Amino acid sequence: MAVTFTCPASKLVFERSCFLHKNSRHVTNVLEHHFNYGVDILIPDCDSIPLHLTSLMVNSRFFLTERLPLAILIDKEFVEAFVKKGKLYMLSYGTAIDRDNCVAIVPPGILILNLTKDTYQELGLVGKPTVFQKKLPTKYVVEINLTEEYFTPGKNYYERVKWCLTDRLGLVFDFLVAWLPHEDQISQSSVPAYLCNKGFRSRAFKVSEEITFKKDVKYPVIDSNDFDGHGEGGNSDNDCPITSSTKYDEQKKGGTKSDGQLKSGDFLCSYTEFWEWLGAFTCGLDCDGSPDDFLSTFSCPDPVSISPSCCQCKYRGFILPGTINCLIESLRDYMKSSTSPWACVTVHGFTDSPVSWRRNEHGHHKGGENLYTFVLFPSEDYWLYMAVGTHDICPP
Amino acid sequence: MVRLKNRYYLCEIIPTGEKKQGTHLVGGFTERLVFKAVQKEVQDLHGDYGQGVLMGSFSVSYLNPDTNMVMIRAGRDYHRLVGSALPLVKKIGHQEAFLRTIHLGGTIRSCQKFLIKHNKQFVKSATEGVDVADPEVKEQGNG
Amino acid sequence: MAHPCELNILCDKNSGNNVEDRVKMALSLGYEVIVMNNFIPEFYTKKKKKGQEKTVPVPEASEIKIPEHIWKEFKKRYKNIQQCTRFTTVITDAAQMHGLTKQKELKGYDITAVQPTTEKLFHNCCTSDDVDIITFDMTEKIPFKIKRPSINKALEMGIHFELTYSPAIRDPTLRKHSIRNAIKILTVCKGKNVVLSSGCERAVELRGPSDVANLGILFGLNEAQAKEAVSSRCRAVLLHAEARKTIRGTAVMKVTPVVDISQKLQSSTESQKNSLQTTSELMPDESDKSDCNGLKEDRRTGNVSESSFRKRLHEKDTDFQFEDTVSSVSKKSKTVNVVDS
Repeated sequence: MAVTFTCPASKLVFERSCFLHKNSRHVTNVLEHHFNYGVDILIPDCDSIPLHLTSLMVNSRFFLTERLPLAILIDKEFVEAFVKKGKLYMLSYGTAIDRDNCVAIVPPGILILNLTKDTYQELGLVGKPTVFQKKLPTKYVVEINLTEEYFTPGKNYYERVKWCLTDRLGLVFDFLVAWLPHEDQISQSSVPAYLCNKGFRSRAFKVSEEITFKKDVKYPVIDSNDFDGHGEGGNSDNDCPITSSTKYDEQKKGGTKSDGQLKSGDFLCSYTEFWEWLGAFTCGLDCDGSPDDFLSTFSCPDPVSISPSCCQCKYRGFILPGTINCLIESLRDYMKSSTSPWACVTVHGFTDSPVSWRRNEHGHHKGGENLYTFVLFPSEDYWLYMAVGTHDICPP
Repeated sequence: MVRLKNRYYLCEIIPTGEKKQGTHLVGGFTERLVFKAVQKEVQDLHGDYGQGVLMGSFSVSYLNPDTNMVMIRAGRDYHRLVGSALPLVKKIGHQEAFLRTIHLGGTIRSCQKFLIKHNKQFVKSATEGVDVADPEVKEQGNG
Repeated sequence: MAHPCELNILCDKNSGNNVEDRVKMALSLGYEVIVMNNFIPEFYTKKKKKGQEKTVPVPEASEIKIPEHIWKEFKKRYKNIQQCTRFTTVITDAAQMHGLTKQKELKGYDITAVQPTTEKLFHNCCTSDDVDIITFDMTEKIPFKIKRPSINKALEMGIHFELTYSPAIRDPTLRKHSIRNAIKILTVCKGKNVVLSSGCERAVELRGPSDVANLGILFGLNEAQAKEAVSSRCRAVLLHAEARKTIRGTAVMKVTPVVDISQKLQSSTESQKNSLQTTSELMPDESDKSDCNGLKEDRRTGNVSESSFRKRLHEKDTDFQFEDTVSSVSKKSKTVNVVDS
């Protein structure tokens, strides 16, 4: 019964690899993280950001459809046209994962219903209890594969699902919709157009952009081969092997910040210190704390380099993983010709999405964070951080 | 069945003031004074939360004014709050003194056993090299 | 987690006229269910001298609710909100427990809460059918010892224990008492069936659901329990209150497949024990459970399991005999089996 004031547990996976390596999973890691609401880019020593980098983000569109019943989503026409062809991403809007029912559609066509106990019992579809509450689950997850052969009108299973979603409990949600067509000629707005014909209003949105240039910014010096910061001679070979993922529980580590700063024999900044500095900088915190400062002693980890101009870009919206992959490819090209020592891309996942990576269940305990950061180096090496909160399964 | 478990801190009061006669202070300490001193320290260190938590089973179980040994009881779940405040006690009553924690036990009996062992060792070290049968020593003892 | 609920906004004569302000504050903080609490310390006294029962007039539940036109305004702004009423009283003698069932006006209130003053009364409250919440005065030391058997009975009945946090915010001395009382209660009940609510007199004493969960951790709950105390447990209280008002007992019904008349005739000629066995054999087997997914519940934690239902059929002196399942349960069993989450 004793009170221990511990931080809620969270998980961080760190990977170091090379884009050119045949086993590099950078593409799959991005594609498997389905629902993203924000992308932050940070490039030190950068005067101007090339247009081709930003254009693909700004050109992407997403839609908000209001009061759409679930029955439409299993409609044969809808499934044949949009689920089986191209990649459809849909997420219920305005629903809190820990309180309400949440619905999502992820490629390759899985409808995921994360339901409260009442709804689950009333609905009548088979599902599993949440993995985060073993004894008395308050949430249940129902997964329906819309692309299965047996999921066609006339078959028992389809008819049952249809009956549950229409007659038994007519669930209605607002949805964020984004569709990647299988052919270039087909427009992304085919989905809202189809729904409009059925009588459901949709509104189109663009991804919002915010670019700022900061002057005289202190940033830590890092080396792609030396992520521990011990100053060991690194492997400068381009085709470097993937190091084993360092999975550690933040709770067990504890006091990382102070440990990192007290180390005097370090030559370079370690990956944990860099991660913390990145978070502080992105939030706009003043990282100039001196050791005797009362409010904050947090300062940029040594060794420090000063950049005359640092570029920071923020994109907010319902962003597709494919777009993020293209962004990373563009950044790789940019890094080859630029003088920047590194570039960072942080992608934030929706707090209220029912899944994080692949079909791993995602929940909200004290926080529902699920994000990842790529640190790109000119040598085609990269660091990858993947972080999740308490009610989350460890990322792959 | 819920069993209320406690932890007993066995401490020695070491006075540091000017008034001293022999090895201990005359007109010594009482349970109440020790209790008040530790309670005040918990209040200063852990605030209202510390006080609220202690109100349950915090007390001074035993005090020997001759040897200045005191046994302080605290509930098992929150005994660390008390333990963290004990070294910070500077004054008991009007006398400047501090507490030296000797033992932490689960029951009074275990503390008692330890105390006996501790006292025996103390007597042994104090009387090392001293011949008790020596008439001079006997005179000193009687005087 | 369910929607966060605020179970204790005082609306009696002493709490002043700022009820609307407090409700507005609670809604803006994120609470979706507001419960207006009418706290009457002594509503029922038996004056032995005169030999007459005297009752304090209890206002109707509708009087303490927020008026319709104001509530509509709130609903426009905050969707999915609801308000309920609650009656709280201090129990100083056993006759008052009896008074809870007598008064007509009390039936209009959604939730009934009691504050016992002695150990025996505490035990009576824990075993009572008419109580939803047992509350404690956090401003003073609880005058009696809280015992495990009483708590166990209360858990079985689905009764919840309430801890109010506003005294802890109001004053440092009250804070100490609150923490001490909370720890005393939680040591015995181990954080089960605990509900956190404000008991506020002013809007400034209200806190948001996550903050209250953090306060709960200070009181001694663990993280998951603290979060539940503001949401799921409150919802369980509301369901318990609803069930208490509407039913006196329960009948668990199970659909059995159509049976051959000849088989039934055969079974009815045998002894009662055998007939019970055959009816259980005629029960649908495991494969037919698909309709009842998610309906496994166990009585102790507020749920009923299918296997326990079958076991009862085997017992001779069970109340759930086949003939009785259709009609309401015998007066003996007054347990309320609630769909509890």
